Amino acid sequence: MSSQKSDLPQGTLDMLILRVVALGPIHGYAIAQRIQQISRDVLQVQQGSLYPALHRLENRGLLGAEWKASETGRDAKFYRLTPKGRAQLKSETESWERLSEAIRLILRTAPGGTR
Amino acid sequence: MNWWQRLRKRGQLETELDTELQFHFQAQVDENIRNGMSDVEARRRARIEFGGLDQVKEDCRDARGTRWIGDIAQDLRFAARLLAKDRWFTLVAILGLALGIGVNNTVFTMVTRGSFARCPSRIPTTSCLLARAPPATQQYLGRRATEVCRTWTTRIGTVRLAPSPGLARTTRRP
Repeated sequence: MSSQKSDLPQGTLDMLILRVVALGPIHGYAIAQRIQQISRDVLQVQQGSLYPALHRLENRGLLGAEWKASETGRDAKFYRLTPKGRAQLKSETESWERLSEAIRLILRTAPGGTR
Repeated sequence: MNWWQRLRKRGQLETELDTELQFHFQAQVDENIRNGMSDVEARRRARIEFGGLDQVKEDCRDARGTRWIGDIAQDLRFAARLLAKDRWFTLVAILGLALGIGVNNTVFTMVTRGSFARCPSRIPTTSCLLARAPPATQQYLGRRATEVCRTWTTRIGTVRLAPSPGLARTTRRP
């Protein structure tokens, strides 16, 4: 992999997980794969942060979970978005867009910038 | 699932956590094999990538929010084992604590009652002292007490002490 990897900003992992799960029921391994693929290998989610985050979101009622046979035939825990999780995703996406737009504006116009 | 259910079903949750992480590990191994690694190499790489399994599990238990209960239970068990192991230490600790708490409590009670507490009566000037005394004195005191009480009653008007004949009768008995 030639591309540079970046660390996730604090608090964005939950949002990314909610976003990926919003596409349909999915297990933990596939969530990590999907985030890596969609970000073109820039973002890599470690198991060490993925599973605690999934369990935290499940306990907060933002994700639901059920055990189903996976594509390989083994039982896997499939996560899906709850209505509460959908609302949370919406509000987090909005605030993230506001924040990143603001940061983009500052980086573009501040004197001494690279542009 | 609320925290109580999470606490009661923690055995089941543990099994599920194990299965879930095991699935992830196995999926990683499968992928590595698909990418052309040997079985042994695929497992080795997956294990490296997965990092500390127990650390991941511990963090997931943290996310459950009920770990402090289990931790307290473990600490209590540990404390009980240590106390049972070293009897002399336990004995000295118990005696020391008992003495310390007892003395402290006594002194504080004395100081509070003696110096700070208010008299447990609405009008402290009307309190009487009841004492045992030889029958003759009792009879004398009884009569005196009755007189005194009557005087007070008439002076203050609203205060009611023990009815005077009753008081006289009790004090007259030996």
